[in-house]
Amino acid sequence: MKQKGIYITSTQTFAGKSALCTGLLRRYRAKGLNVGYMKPLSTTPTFMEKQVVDEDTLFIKKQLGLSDPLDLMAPVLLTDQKIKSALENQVEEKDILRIKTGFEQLSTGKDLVFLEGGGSLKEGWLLGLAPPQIGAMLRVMELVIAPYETDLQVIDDILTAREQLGDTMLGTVINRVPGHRLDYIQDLVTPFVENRGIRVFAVLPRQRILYAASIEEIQEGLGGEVICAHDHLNELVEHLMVGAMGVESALTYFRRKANKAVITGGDRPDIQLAALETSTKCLILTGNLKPSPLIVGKAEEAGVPIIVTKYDTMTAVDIIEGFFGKTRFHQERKITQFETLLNENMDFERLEKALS
Amino acid sequence: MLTSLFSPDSVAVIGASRTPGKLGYAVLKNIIDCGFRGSVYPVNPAAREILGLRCYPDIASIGERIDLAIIMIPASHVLKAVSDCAQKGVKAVVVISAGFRETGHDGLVAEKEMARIANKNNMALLGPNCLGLINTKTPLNASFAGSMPLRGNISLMSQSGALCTAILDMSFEKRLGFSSFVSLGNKAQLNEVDLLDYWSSDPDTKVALAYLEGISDGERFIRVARAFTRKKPLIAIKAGVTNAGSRAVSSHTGSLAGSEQAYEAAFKQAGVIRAESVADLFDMASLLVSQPLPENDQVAIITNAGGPGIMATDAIERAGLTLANLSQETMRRLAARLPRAASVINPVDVLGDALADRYRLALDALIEDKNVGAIIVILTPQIMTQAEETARVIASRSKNRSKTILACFMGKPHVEAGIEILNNNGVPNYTVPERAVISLKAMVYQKKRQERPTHRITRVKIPRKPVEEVFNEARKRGQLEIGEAGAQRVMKACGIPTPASRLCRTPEEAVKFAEKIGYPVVLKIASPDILHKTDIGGVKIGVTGSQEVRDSFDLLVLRTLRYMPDVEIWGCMVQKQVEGGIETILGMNRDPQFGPLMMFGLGGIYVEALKDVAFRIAPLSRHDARQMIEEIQSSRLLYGVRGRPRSDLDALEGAMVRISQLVTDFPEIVELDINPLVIFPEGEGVTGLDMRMVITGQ
Repeated sequence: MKQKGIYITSTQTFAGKSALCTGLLRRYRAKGLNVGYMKPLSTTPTFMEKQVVDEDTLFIKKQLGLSDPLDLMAPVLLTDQKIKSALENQVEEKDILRIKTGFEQLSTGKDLVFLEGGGSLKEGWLLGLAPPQIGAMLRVMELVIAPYETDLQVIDDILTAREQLGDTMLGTVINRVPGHRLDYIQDLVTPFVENRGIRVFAVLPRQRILYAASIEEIQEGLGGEVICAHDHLNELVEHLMVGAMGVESALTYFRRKANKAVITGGDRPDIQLAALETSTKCLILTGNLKPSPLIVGKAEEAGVPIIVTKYDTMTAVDIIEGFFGKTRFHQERKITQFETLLNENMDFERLEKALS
Repeated sequence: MLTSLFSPDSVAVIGASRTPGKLGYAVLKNIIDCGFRGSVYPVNPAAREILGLRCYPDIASIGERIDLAIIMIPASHVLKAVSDCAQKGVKAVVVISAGFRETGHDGLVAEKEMARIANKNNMALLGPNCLGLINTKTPLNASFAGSMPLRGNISLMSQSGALCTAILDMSFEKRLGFSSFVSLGNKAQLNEVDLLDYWSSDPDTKVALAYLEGISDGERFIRVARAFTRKKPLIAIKAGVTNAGSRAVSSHTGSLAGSEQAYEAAFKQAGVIRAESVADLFDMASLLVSQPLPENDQVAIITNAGGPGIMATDAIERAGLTLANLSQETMRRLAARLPRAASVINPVDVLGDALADRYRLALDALIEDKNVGAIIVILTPQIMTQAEETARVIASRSKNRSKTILACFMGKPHVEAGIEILNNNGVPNYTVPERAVISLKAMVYQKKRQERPTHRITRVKIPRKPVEEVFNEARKRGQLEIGEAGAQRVMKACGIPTPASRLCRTPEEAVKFAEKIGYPVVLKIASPDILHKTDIGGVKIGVTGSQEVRDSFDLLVLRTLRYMPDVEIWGCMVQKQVEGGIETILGMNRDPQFGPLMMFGLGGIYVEALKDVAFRIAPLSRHDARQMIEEIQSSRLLYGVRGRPRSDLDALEGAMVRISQLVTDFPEIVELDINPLVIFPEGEGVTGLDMRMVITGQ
């Protein structure tokens, strides 16, 4: 492969960039290549392990055991301070330099470096560090992930990306296509896009598990207390159901969804038991009321964590619903699932050919 | 195993205490005071002698064989004690100590461990967290109840220990005698079914009573109770039947209460008599234990007061019993000897001034009347009324046990002495006629139960493979709901006919198929996300012609997308329209306690608005299926009314039995609805038009 770097960007946020980076990194490393990862501009830095870091970078570094220093892998963090100074003093040449030298250092001795774009094609213009600008600066080609929402949206998003990136756009991966639209996308949309000179490397079907939230994430968001089954916090929740009905209706309702979290009042032992009777991953009890020891015992036995939160049900639902589809990719199950998806649907040969 | 629990030769009391007022003292004293004839070994490492008995430091140091051990030491030491008992070869233990399941997970684990030890060593274990048990025949009072009940033939088990003591205390006034009293506690090992099984062959138990909040193994309960009630009556109170009540059960027992319909159905199938209150429990038990079962449901009344006689008549009719038609011979006999003003037609009114002799005369005549199954004798105290003498007459006639006889002596001080005589002679007395009738109804129920043919299930074979395929495909897509296309394959596997139909992905495909099967056709939206198609206008019936098929297809898709924009649409199901027949609904909802609860009713408004439905637990026998059909109010429509043809009930029964087998064979089906199941006139069978199911993830 002639190209050393691939810049992975997307038409919108939470599109699957980190997932694709992780998947590709693991694939090419397994093939014996010396691989690297870099996020030139981090648009959502967080405070973790006593420092301001980019969470994805930290995760990928740990996941793949990459030895490059963190400040090289994520050289520019978009903090409030940086935004303020950018508004006052225009573009900081220092940051551009850091990215440039960072990439040079990082790619030395590497066969392939995956660069992950910030949020979407839109982010970073303020600093002169938007994906099209970075791509041109580093002379790398862009692979664009376009998640499906509607037929029209996904086509227009891909065409817009092409307009913005021009000839350096390597191609696209269409993500999250629901089962009933797969044929349509493959048979009609793909040939249309290809005719415009855009390579479609993969059409990936939508899979619920990839948008699932872990119980730990939910608990962090709610700020509640976990009172049992602490060793099951990394399990994934795919649905959220509210238990506010009679116990018989509850059972019928809860049976419809697997791997769910159930929110109900701490004073509803019948609903709590009905939830435990069905495929439930987590019980969220509102109103700061602890359940009876009998139920705690049962939940512990079933490996179902109970989170007790001070919020009322409506507020708790709002908070948790915000998580689904916007969760991070940081669970082993999601990674292996996505790898399988890639292996089944991605034309790697074509990607490699395009790079050479 | 349970013989050692109820009739041990030797008892060890682990946690016996020297201090009056302590549990360990009370239980030991109860064992000694009740006249227990075997050996008693107090165990307490800190004492040498308690209540005159030599005390042992632990169970191992007792040199003799131990049948039963009573454990009441702090929870943290119980496991060790249970395990020591197993080591020693003790045959049964009663764990009175609390502090297990009800305290959280550690308690639950300890409780499971104690059951495991008991099971492994073939040792019976009652409790923990219980009041103990009493057997009046042995005699043994290994409980902390205040006293020993009267001897008798009623056995009682209760999931509430405190209710045991209350019932015990109340039983003295009623002069009700008991054989066994058992407080079930947390049911770590022994539960209601084990006791029922034991009492079924226990000669000292003639009637069993149960206070239940939940049932541990519903399927086994039905089986064992069914066998039990063939021989003896079982009267049960099921508490926690309302929404609030079931919530209370949930927090008391930590298990789901189970649905009211499931209990109702299970009790009916198992022949259990259901009592609504403790008062009912006493009323029914005292009658069932003392009087013979009536030959029929025809009730005769003897009264010295017109009003109560009429009230009793109303109660009889309301309860579904029959007011007996007295034979000509009886009426002639009565007319010849009673005053002219007396009524010789049932209810027989011997008039307010009747002395004991008129009662004797009437009673003798009615006892000999073959039309009469049971006799209620009503007495109100007038100044001349001979309550005691009349009671003696009733008692002497009751001795022959040729008819079921109940008394209803109404009043207080003037009838007290009479009631005392009745109670002492096994004639139950009721303060008002309505209560007498409730108990008599239980009696008739038991009689019919014992005459019911043995429950026989003819197993039908449902092929596993096609059903499993449907389930696996759904699970692979991460779905637990099986829509119409999959469900049709399941119905086919069950041998339930379905109209010609196909899932069409495009309007063109739909037209092609409709032309093939012929018009009119029905179009239904096919989406895994929509189960109630009619709710969103996703069904179009009576579609004729290719243009209408095309338009309907587009319309259904449009409506669905407007309702749920994110929905996954597979296309439309095109189905041959079925004409004629009567729509019924056959459904199943898996109950947490009893398993597959089958539901049957007539379709449309009958189920939705009138709730005219019947329930039974699967698997169903043909007899069960027929009973379900007969039980609904609207069943007459199926038998043909006003010139309409009789429906194909044979085919309907067959379909019900096969679906009941399907849900029995596949426990992963948690819900199922065939709605409508159309039933055609005799000889033309049934057709399932639409079906949906919910399965579990594994």
